[in-house]
Amino acid sequence: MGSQKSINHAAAADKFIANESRTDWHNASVSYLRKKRDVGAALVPEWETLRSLASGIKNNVLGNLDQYLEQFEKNAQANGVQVHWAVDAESHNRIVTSILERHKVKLLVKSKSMLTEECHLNPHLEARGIEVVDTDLGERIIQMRDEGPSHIVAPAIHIKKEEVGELFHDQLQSEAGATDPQYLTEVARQHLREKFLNCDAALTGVNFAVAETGGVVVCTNEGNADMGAHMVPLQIHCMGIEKIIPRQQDLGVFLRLLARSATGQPITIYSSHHQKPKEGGEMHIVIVDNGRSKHLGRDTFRNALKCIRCGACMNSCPVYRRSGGYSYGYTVPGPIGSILTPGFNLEKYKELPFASTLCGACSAVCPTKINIDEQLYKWRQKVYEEDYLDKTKETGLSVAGNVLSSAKKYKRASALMRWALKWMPRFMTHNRFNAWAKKRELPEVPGESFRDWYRKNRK
Amino acid sequence: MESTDARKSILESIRKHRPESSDIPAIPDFESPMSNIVFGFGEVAAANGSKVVHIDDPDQLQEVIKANFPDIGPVYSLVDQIPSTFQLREGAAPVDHQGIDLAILHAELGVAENGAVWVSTESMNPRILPFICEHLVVLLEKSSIRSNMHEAYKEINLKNIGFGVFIAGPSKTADIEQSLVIGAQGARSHTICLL
Ligand code: SF4
Repeated sequence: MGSQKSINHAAAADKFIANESRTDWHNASVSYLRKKRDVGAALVPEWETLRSLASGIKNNVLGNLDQYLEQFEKNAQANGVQVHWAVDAESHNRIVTSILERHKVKLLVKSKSMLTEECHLNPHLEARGIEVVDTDLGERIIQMRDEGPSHIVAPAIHIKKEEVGELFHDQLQSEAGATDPQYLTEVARQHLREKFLNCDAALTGVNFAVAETGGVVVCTNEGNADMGAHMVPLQIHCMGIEKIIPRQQDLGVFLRLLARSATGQPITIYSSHHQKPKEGGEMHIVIVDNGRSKHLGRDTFRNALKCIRCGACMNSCPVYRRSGGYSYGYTVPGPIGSILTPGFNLEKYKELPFASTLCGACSAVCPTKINIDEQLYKWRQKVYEEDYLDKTKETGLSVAGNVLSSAKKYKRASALMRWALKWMPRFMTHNRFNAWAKKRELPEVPGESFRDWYRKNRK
Repeated sequence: MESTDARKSILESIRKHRPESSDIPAIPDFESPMSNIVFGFGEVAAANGSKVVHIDDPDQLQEVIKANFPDIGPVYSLVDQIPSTFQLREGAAPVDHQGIDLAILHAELGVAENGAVWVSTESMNPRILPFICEHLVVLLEKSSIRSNMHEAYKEINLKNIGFGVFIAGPSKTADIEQSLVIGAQGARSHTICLL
């Protein structure tokens, strides 16, 4: 989890919103994803039933994770797959490196994997002389810029086409001044095709690992994961322990929810089911813990492990939309990042639970019904208990503490907050309790604090 | 062995930390909102960027290919009605399939709710085929269309295959400013011949 230096979300957000038109543009692009999600979800009459099923299946998984992992391993091995276990990021990186070195791999093509980002696999491999190419277009763009992802589904959502044009001109010799996404995508296609044809191994992330069948499912729109995995004999799939689902039929529930929640598409273009190695090939699966099993023991917070990484919570979050993915200082940003990270390192990520209005929009869209807003509030309490709090947040917390001390009050306040977000976004984002959202048109004097406003309105 | 110790310690840690088990929910059948799933499949597939062509006889495939791909280069076909023109050396590796302009294969299933077709190693070899080709044509029987993913999975047995994939259209990306671009890393077009 890197350095112990605390992430200062408010300061990072400050920097992000300094460029006003860019903040507006970012807000609009991310909101667009959310709107498409709403359209996609509305087309499925049983949408809410699917969410309940997904949540129920994931609850069952959390209670039986050890057995499902063992079952998965047994079935995968019967399929001829080699299964590896890694307690943390370092051991994950060591395992991948040793497989690659055994095969004398010089060029590895990788497809979108938040886990390998989390483990910082790329620098680890590069230091050992192995070239790593991220093959998802957005991932490739940020890799060429030497950046991390700013969104889990749309990693380059913060970058403008002019910047992509310049980057490709510099590094891929495309036409100077080109900004047409069609042209730029074609440039990337040719560049990546070359890499696919010359790679020695392929590594992908995993969306779902099915205990019953011992196989993994990988979802992409570009086809990049498949272009790698099927091109060469050696394919590696890296997964967190929480990616397990029990039965083949559960895939029906999750594949119906995933793409619709992410981008509003009814399904990703490719949903690839890898069961056995290809003829004469090797298939490896690396199962990674890296803090997850410990998180499983936190009653209040374990639900975060139900996440399927659709990105809907960040697309719905007024704070994420206006502060950008980098302000969270972690691979997974937004509301889900803010409830996962304090579990890894409370001191370092103590600010993140405060990067929220507690409006509840995240929980309302989450396809596995994670109680994200409640967890944000509970992490705030933890930060307070462990005495990590600085003064700015303390006031906000005591108000929240007052409001949240009774369930009834909380309910009413959440409703008010939701209302306020809808009708009074300026007030909500300008008031002095929200250090993260200090922004461009601060009212001269805040008319009333949230506490006053709440008192006046609590009837 | 590092991995063996890790396995033990991860499983132990999970056993120590896991919550009480809850029942796994049964997945009910869902009625399709479509009055005609073949028609519905076509609509959704078209919205995904696929081209849907209706034929009455597999022999009409020739005409469809001629009409839709008049200047097509090397063809790799797994369908009887269309001959392959792509030359492969003996013992060809996946990488040797670079250069296929058009690949034609059988789809085993179609899914009305999302316009996807299912192809697997039961009917396709090598696995790289539907991805590496510039254009993809699949032949799908109307009777193989199911209303939703639940129904589709009832027909599939993952344990019997090496690899299988739902393909829901041509390869695409929206990674540059959310602009939809067709033809990212996989096939640039996706044609479904409905029989
Ligand atoms: S927390 Fe829920 S909404 Fe957010 S990414 Fe995970 S599954 Fe999606």
